[in-house]
Amino acid sequence: MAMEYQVEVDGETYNVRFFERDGQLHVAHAGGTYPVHVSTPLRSKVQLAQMNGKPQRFGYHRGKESTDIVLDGIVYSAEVKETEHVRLAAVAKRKGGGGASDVKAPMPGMVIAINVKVGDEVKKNQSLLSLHAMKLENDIRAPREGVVKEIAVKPNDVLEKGALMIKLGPLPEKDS
Amino acid sequence: MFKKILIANRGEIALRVIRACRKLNVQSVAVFSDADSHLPFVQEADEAHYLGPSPSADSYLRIDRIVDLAKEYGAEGIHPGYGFLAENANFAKACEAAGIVFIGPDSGAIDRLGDKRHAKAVAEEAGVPVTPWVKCAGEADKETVAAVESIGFPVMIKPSAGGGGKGMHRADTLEELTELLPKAAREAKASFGDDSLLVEKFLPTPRHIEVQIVGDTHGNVLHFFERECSLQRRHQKLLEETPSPSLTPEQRKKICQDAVKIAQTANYSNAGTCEFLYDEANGSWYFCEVNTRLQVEHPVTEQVTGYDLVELQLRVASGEKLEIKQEQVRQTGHAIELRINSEDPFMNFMPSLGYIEAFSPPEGEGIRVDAGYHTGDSVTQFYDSLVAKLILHGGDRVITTKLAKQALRDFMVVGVATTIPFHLNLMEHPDFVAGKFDIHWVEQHMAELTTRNRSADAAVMAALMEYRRLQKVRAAQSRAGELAFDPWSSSSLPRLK
Repeated sequence: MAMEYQVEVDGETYNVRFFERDGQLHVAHAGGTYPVHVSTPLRSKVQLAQMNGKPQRFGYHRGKESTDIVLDGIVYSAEVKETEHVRLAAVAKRKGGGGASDVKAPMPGMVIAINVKVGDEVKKNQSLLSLHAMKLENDIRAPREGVVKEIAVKPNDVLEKGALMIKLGPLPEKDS
Repeated sequence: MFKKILIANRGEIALRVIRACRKLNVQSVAVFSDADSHLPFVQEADEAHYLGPSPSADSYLRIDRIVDLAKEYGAEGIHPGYGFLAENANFAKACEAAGIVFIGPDSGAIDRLGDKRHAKAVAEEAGVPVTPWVKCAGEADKETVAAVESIGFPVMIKPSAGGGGKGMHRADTLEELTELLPKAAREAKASFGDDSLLVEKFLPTPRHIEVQIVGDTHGNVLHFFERECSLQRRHQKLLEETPSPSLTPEQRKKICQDAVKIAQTANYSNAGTCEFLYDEANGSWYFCEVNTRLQVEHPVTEQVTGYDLVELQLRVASGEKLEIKQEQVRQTGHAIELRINSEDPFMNFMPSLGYIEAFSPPEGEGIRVDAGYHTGDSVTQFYDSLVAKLILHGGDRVITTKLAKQALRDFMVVGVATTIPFHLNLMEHPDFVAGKFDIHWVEQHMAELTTRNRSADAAVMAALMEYRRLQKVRAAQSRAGELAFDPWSSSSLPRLK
């Protein structure tokens, strides 16, 4: 049965499709279509695979937020979604104006300033707060339009990666 | 030889000392903090005793506790490793007072050579060149200004009692010097409990070359050749190699003799390292300081000379005479040590803490891994970030570099980010291949050393694993649906033994 995924790594989105042909699993993506075979059990943190006839060894760890792949010592954090789910979510969002969404800290850091307050209506890409991390101030912007439902942090808070910062709710229904 | 010694350290270096103990039939006693209770060095030692809470100040820096444990469990000597109490003269004195052998130089030598100002006086007495320098207080008074101007800017301000690059400041102008001196004095006081400073001529593009020495208590001193340690980031070494690609055979002979002269002048015993700054442009070097301990990077020396430096430490500390002749010590082939730190090179080398999901070091001829962790251990915030040292030894520098690349690709660490990708980029860089670098080179080339070029492959692998996971879940679900009763998986039937 064919399955298609949208994978986000290092800010890029990749489309990856799997299907069986002649009893052999194949992968299709922008880099080509070829057979893949994995010889290690799923639970193994070190995976051995044959991809396009070449042996590949990589580290694998499935975390809560993302899947980590370790390749040439580099940790790649990948967000894997079924393309079908992404499509359904987009439809739902169009219909309902979007559900709630959490804005989380993309990296560990300290909150410098909060630029919105609860109840504010924000546009997509509007600045929500600034986070000091890696010696730089990082502007955290709204991933979509919505209403600020909750602000879970205050200035000078030191956050871990993935900490909830702001909850956005759907925009109120407008009488048109 | 000792019957039993205590190791006042942790991680890979504690394991390293345990290995030498086994070889010499010496019982080893490990001491550990809360955070370290499950680490390999605790399991591997013949005995292990609890030292104290996780912060170093409550455990590995507790002189009284460590000496008491040594007495209680009958250790005749204490090996301090590196870091923590390794260069603390008070610790050496406390051991001496308790009748326990401090496996290192005597406290007097640590006092004399651990203080940079005294060390330079020793070098001057030995007739070894030092960088022009003046001692100074925490303010730019007339005397200080005149002295510094006679050296000429740029200069480096250093704490007299310091080490490891802490509290060092560069001043390019008199204004900067005036501003930085009080700050440097405060930092020196806070870090080392001593606010005395020295100001030294700053060489813009030097290499860091050091010479390994070992002395016994009968007046013999040997050198074990040099190590090239120029590849550093913020004064922290990332790669060490021997022989240095920048010395001619004549220079090598001379710099090693200089190190022996310093050690002889200081009446030095046990293992130590003389550090030099080498000005490649004019072929001259200046003595900086003596590290009065075993160095992190000692394995490269062991690989090319074939001598076990920790074994030699134990032998000379127990009073044995060095039976080796200088001309027997030779450099064979080339060795490189790569420090595998749990730091993320793509996040400005931020420490990467947490659970190690998988730790699978490379194996093979010419590959040595000194590691302090296994799969299932945690890297905590309490101690340094060194997870393992990958040491390669081959016939020459080209062969060793090639071996390093393969070993780095095979080295699998899952759960924490490491410096492995930094080293892979470094091994490929033309300047590294040509041996052309100085102590600032890494920081000037950081962008080229931190490239990520396999995100597309990683995306395919991540999707592949998700696909397999889903297949497995579906297969389990369908089995559960099809088979109402499976005698092979039922727990209600008696089991065959």
